[in-house]
Amino acid sequence: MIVIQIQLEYFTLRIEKYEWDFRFLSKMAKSANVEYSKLQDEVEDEIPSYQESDPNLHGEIASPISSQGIENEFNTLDEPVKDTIMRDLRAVGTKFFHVLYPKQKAALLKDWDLWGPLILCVFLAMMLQGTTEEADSLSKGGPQFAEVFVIVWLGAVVVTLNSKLLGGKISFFQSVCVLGYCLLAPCLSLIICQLILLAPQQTVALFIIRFIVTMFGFAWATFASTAFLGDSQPPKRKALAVYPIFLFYFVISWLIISHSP
Amino acid sequence: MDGCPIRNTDFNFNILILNFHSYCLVRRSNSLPFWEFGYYQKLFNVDTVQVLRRILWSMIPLPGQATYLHHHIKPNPDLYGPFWITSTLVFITAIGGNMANYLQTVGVRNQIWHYDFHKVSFAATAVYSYGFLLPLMLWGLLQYRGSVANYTFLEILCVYGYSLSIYIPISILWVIQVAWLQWLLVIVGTVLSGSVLLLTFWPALKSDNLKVAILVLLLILLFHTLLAVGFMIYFFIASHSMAPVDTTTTTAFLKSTTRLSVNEQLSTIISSLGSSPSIVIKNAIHKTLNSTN
Repeated sequence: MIVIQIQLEYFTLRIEKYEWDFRFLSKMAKSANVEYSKLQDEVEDEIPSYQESDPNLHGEIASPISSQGIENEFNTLDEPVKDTIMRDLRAVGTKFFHVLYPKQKAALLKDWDLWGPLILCVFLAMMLQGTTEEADSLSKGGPQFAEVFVIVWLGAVVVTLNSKLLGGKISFFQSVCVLGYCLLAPCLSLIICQLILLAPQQTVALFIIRFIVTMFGFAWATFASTAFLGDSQPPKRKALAVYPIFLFYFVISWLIISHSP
Repeated sequence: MDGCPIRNTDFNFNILILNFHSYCLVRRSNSLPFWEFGYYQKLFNVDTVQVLRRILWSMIPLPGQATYLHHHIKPNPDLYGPFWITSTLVFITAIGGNMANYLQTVGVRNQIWHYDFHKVSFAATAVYSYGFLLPLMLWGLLQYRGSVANYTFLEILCVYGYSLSIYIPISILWVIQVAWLQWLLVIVGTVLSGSVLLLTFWPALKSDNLKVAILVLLLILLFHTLLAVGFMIYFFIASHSMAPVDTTTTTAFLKSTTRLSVNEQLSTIISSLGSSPSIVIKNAIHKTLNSTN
């Protein structure tokens, strides 16, 4: 009896194993397919000129510049430093544009970088830090540089971890990248607020303008990051993933509206 | 003859596979170690409706057989609610405290008001330690007394986290600088969510010595009230924030500039009270008016 039972269990396990193997294989095949099509897309996107201009591939191995297209795209060893920097800057600039105009979702998610978030975070921390005589007393006044810095990065990391834990299908740094780039709208509202604060007499009307500008930046940041990140969640949990994003930008907007020289 | 050794090795191999599979099955089912990501994923396995329901019923006490814990939390206690409710409470309290401070000082000082970011640190220390240490102590106590209800630490943590949710709307309303309203809010909040806590932990303490049980329940209620009262006094009541102001200069400032306006305000109040029957208040106001003159 025991032997039969063991055999039965074994067979069920085997069936399950095959099922798992099958799932694994099909998953592998799917991802390989995706990878392949992505590669194909990239190749098609990036070197059409190469394929059109130079169809015959024979030539000398030692010739330094065989074709312009392939040199520019794939070989960065002997390109000028200016080109390299400009290419990265252009990528950062494109991402900034996509954040302000969140239509193409894939553009920001495809290849993440943390340059934009770093720039924005340093900018926020420098602008929002309290003056030194306030910092001495520590009981009153604005945050220190490091406090803003930590709030921004830790906030982005915690929000990302939250969406990962809820079962979101997005990589860690992609999400941090999106959250960081979406700080652009609050940063712009901060610049406008600082310009308004230059006025000699601060009235209630000016405060209301500052309030509206900050709220607009906050709403835009939440809207844009939700557009990028919201789809990675199952629909039943979308609100649970969006709420921490809302809180994150809300706190940063509070820092912006409260900041005064 | 030939098949025998092969069958033997095959059998050993089978046993190995069997062991491996059962190991995998057990691992997959429930007992993930705490350092793995999946362990925490299990604690965030909630839907929006579920979280909203948990928040709602943490504010409304329902006496009956099934407690809040059994009815809403028991199958899977989550950490989503406790973590984000405490974080929200930290920032809402800090923001509300700053707004209250502004409302208290507006028109009194002639210097520019500055916001105080470091209220966040104090609020964070208070809320996170309350939300983590108290469940820990309570869980330790229940373990020590050998409670039959078998509440796990995560369940207690979850109940405590959700019980703080009522203080979020309350700390927004605390900004309104009316003393009786503030105290009323303290009483309402503490009674509502505190009674949910008491009803939840009563089954765990029922079998214990009655004195101990009542003492523990009183302590739970006391700490819950202390948190509310402490927050209100530290963040939302005038005396704390007015303390650093030099009183002599303030009174001088008041005497020189606002005496007329104060008198005008008082006389309008008196005229409005003219029809009302509260002569006592009227007399009191007259007295203060005379003393200021």
